Amino acid sequence: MTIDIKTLKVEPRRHTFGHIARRLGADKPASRYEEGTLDLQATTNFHYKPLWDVEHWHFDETRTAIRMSDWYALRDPRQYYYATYNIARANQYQATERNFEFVEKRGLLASLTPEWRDTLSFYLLPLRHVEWGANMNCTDICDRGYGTAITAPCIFSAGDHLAMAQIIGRVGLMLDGNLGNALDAAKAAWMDAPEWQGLRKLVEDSFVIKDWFEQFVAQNLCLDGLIYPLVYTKFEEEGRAKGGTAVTMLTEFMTDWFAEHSRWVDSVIKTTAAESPENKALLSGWFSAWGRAASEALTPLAIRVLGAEKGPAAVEACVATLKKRATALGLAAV
Amino acid sequence: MNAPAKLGLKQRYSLLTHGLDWKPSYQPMDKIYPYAEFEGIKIHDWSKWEDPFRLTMDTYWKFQAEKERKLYAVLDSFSQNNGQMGLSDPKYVNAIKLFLTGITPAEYQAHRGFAHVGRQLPGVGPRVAAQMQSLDELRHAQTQIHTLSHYNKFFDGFHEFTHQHDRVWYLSVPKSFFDDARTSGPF
Amino acid sequence: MPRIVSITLQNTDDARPIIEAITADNADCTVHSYPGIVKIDRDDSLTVRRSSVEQRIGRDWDPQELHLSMVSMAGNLDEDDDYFNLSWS
Repeated sequence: MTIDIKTLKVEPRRHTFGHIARRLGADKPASRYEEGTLDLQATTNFHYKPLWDVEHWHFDETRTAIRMSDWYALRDPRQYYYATYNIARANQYQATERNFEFVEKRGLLASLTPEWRDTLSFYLLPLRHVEWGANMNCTDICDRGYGTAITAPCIFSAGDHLAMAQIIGRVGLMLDGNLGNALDAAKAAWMDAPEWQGLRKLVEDSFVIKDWFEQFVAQNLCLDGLIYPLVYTKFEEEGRAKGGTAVTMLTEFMTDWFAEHSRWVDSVIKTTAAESPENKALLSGWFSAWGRAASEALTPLAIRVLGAEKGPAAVEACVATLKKRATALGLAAV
Repeated sequence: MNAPAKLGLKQRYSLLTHGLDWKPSYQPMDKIYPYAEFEGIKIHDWSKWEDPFRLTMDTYWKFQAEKERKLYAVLDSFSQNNGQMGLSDPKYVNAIKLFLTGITPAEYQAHRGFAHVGRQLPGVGPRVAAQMQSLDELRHAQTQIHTLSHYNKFFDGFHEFTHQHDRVWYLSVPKSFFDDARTSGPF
Repeated sequence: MPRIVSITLQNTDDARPIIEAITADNADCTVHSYPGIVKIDRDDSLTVRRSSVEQRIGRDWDPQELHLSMVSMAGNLDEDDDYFNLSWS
């Protein structure tokens, strides 16, 4: 005797929302990234002009000189929406948490030579303020930018920078047994030490950039593009011979993050540059100016960490890599 | 090596978060925070505003990731089992149509609005709290879309929700409220 | 007349020990049951104690884990390593 168990099949009337179907070219199943991103930001019939900026609507394409016929061409290759972003970061941070526990349990920071411990404290701990500046700029772009495709990833980046600032903070607390003195000293260095003033001025200058896309290039391509390779590769390589391997474990998150984040930044820049010669010219100009300013600002720090010869050489090497990257994205060679 | 002092939740959060900000010297405060005073509110001491949740970013990720895993498992299950067949009253579908067309775009506005506050208020505590709120509002917008995406496949009235929000007369009420909020000062 | 503070938790296995701890530690709570959630009201203040929850679940518990079960709350929050307190005063 056979038993037939019928499954109930209910035919859908449509596969996705109207605006998504129009973008996909047909009514077909859409991904959660697409449904949660495309055309989500309002574009018309605004009721009030901002009290804080009467020249523009609160969502306004003219807040930047960059022109895109479709701001949703700037899709995130990682396809992060809120859920996948948090899940990815929580998974990544598990490794960081385990590393902190391991280093703490084994007292591995004791292996640092006294000189390197000083140097490390000097170059790493004040960077938490640079991260905080990056957090502010990414939040700024999320506020002033146009279209969900580029603005949503910016609030994710802001969260990333806060997390990295706090990782550095944790390293500082581990260095001084939770007293907080190391972090105070780092703040003093950030405010007053000559090696840091170029970078602090650059960060403060980045806070007042009027064009949000210029701010995007300055922060995400130029500043990040030099700082992460310089600090988490060049400086850390130097530290490895001086008992610094434990620190590399604690800051591994930064290296992995930079590789992942760059995929997004590169995709945005490449698509924007390819849109028009005007965009390409704007992006190239911004890259050139802020790239130069960043490399100048970082040189005194590099000299302090690596010495008068290796320091500038390290900065030049990072600049060369960044220029190659920019050229590959379609920016004019500088 | 001495054992490290034990840090309480409040102290640890303070060391890791409040200490991040600094008083700028290369750009004036009122250029970095141009909207902080125009509403007439004067704050003397920003450090008095403490975020009661005190979530560091990694803790935020940890808890939110767990919640999202569970939520999307529920959404997938609802979808696979055609949960809409279990509705006891069709009026429910009308209610959620109003939700998607009226509320979801407003959640998105709130996400951008809190990003504004999260940059423009001079205090660290409120900025971090506002940024997490901005993230949360994006969450609301996206989880609502993902939940109602299933209903959209089987019922009419969901598929042009953003278009309708900006044009339908009764939706101009929530649109107006959030346009108003978004265009007001940070306070 | 004191204002009511309130905490609303999902009605799941994870939340059950928390709900029990709250009602055991805070006299005169009103517990409302709704589909899928439990709303606990109390005059003026309500405290979730870490030790109380740990006793019931048999492992270490961080009050911040409350975020996994909490749907809503009303009242000013004061939180530290050992407690999560809502109050209006």
